[in-house]
Amino acid sequence: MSEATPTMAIETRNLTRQYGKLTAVQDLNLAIPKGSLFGLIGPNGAGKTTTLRMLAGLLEPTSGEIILNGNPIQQNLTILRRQIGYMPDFFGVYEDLLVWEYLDFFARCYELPARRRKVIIDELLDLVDLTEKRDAYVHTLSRGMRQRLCLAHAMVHDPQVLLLDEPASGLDPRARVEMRELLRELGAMGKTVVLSSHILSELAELCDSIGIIERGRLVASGRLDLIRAQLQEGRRLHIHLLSDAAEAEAILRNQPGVGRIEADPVNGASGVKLDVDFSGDENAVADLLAALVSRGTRVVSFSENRTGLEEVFLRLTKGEVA
Amino acid sequence: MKQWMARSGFRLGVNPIIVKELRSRMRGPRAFITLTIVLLLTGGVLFGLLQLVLATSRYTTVLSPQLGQGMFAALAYLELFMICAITPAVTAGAISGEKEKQTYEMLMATPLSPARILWGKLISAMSYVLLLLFAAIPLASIVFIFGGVAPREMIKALVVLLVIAITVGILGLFMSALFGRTGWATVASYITVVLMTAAPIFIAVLVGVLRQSEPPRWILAPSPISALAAALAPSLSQSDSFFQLFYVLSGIWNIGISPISQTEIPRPLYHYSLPFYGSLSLVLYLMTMRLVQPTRRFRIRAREALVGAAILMVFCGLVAAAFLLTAGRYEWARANGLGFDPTPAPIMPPPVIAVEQQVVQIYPPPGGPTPTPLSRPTSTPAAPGEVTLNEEARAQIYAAVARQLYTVDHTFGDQPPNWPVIYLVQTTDDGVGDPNTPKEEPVTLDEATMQSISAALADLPAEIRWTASSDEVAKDPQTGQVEGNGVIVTFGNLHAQKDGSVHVPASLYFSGLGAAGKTYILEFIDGQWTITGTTGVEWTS
Repeated sequence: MSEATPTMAIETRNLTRQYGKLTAVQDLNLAIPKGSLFGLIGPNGAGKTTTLRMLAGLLEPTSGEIILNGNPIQQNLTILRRQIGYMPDFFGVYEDLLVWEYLDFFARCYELPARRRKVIIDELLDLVDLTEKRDAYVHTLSRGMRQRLCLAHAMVHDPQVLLLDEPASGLDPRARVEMRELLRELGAMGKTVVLSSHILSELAELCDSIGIIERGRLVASGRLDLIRAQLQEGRRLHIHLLSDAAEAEAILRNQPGVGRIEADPVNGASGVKLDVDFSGDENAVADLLAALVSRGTRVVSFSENRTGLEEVFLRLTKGEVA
Repeated sequence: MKQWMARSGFRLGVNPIIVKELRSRMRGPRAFITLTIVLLLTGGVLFGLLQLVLATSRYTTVLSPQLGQGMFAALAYLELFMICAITPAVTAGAISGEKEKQTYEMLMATPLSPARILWGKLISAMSYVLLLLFAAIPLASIVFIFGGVAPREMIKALVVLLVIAITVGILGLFMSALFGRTGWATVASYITVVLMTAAPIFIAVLVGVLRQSEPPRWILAPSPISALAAALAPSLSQSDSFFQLFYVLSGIWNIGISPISQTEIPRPLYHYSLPFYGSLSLVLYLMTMRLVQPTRRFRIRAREALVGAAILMVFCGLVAAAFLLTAGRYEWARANGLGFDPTPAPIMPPPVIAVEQQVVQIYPPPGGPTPTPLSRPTSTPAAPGEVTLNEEARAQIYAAVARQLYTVDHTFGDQPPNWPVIYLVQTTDDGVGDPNTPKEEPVTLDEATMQSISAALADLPAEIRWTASSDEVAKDPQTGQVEGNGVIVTFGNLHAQKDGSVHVPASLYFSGLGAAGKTYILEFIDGQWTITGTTGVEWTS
């Protein structure tokens, strides 16, 4: 959570937003390093969109502050807007506009000179794979294409920070894969991307760091692997043995951190399979294997079943998510 | 300064909103169809009016300029109706439409300032409304067939319409930003427009009924109907027979119009209406600028309030300056008692067009019976400089006018048509000359006067016939041409002036589209009443 990276793209300090009596976001402290792909996860209504809108300068925080590239956002909003690209979760397209005109309009809003507009529109269309649709009407595009067009609109001014609210929602699997590729590409371009989702598998594959938000509070945040380790109350090890299960169990019991052990016969193969609950870091896991082997236990396979983010999420939110 | 300009929405370079709006609005068949419908509607109404007018002119004597003025007024009101009907529909969705389409957030996330968005929306919406408005102007040229409307009048009406259009446009924008829902905004805009139009007239009537006296005219200032009526007033009078055709209209007219001779306000009503619309637009625009902000829409900051107040002060200053500059013609003229008489003419701006005080050549009656010398009346005038006119003087004046119309002002240039018959109308009508000539009750000439007039005109190559009214003269039902190639001369009353001269309206009619009228000035020179010029508006068709 408190990673002391000196170059933060976005930092928030005690960010709070209230709608009347309802607190949408409370004391949010985010630290998003430059160049990272940050995922904001939470169930519907957790405050993800509120957070992103505040980051985009569209919503004034009730209290707390947002620091963008070292500058407080409230002070010179118009200048900072040029550093942010925002894609809302529900976005509209203008009827009766062509795809290139749509991008041209937003490029004009950012006051790009005519020559630059022409170049950037072609580049963006190429990036989001809509070059063929350049002269099509916006309203003829499919949902996935619109989503990509909307993403392109957020990038006409080449912002350092992209705020994407549910970029993958409502997309079919194929479009989702395309969106994922696109975001990877953006990450490779060195942009800081903040995206939100309530679908965890999406973010797990994509993000290098995440923040888990529930009922307006940040439950956990930081690099994905660190969060995992932090949450790792236990690993589950799968061990396939050829030798006697009871003997191996006895060896394992003598090792620190070993919890419950279940033995199952292996279907269609000789030997036995042990499922071991184990708490300890990777060194401890290696030690465990070394201990087994040194005592002459014949190990066919030794693997770790990594806890999925879904499980982490469910654990974090204590199953309160419907 | 540059920053301030940028923040207030004034920035060099094309406003992206305008580019976008025009691109999407003018594309496809929608704009084309709307324009076609509007033009067909305008054209249809004008055509209907034209038919009505032509039909009317067959049965009653309606003078061509009156028709022109009536049609012009009808056209102005049609445009007013279209402005009030179309503008809210165009602007009420401007801000709320973006919110409904969920593009507002995206706009707000760009550095485009809300003020600039608003400005772009206003310009693009108004340019569309004005396109519809101006597209109808060529159709309006049908008015020129009949004459009676000076370009100045037209410009005045157009300016009033333009200001009303902008006000209604800003009203729609305001409602759009306030409600954030196009449906509500549209309904609210229309209700406000109807209230603004009807409520002042209603209140005026109510006050009039309750007080049992003329209601104060300033109550009517907010109503576009009254404002337009006041702007059209110099070219129209309530006694115009054309307007008598439309009883309903003339009812509204009589209530809604504010005659300039009103004692309580020294200026035409639209002089008050325009500043009212201007300030209303400014206030609404400034409020809308606050409402389009994405955050804390209703919290007005101290600096904004100051800037807004300053802008309003500047506007008030400009209005005050304009009033002061023209005060000589209105307030001061009244205060000094100059021309403080029941006739509006002296306190009006110099009337509309053209030939004023032009000296006209007169054919002296060749030989013929010399008119009896007339003595300039010297017997104790009622007011200083006023003239009293005896029977002989009347006959001589009317004869001179008829002679002038028949021999010089016949509109056929250098070649006198020398109609074989002259019908002289027994009963006077003050509506036949300059529309600004004060209207007095018709008078029927007595037998003796008629005989002396006939005698004075005996040298003309035409038979003189007297008729009770121009309706009794047989005319061709199709063209309105007088049968037997006759010509009808209608006189107005004699209006004695303080300087000793006499103003006489008179008209010449020989067919539906062949007529002319003016108000002559006659002076008593060398023992004879002589035409020395004309005054006010002349008309010809």
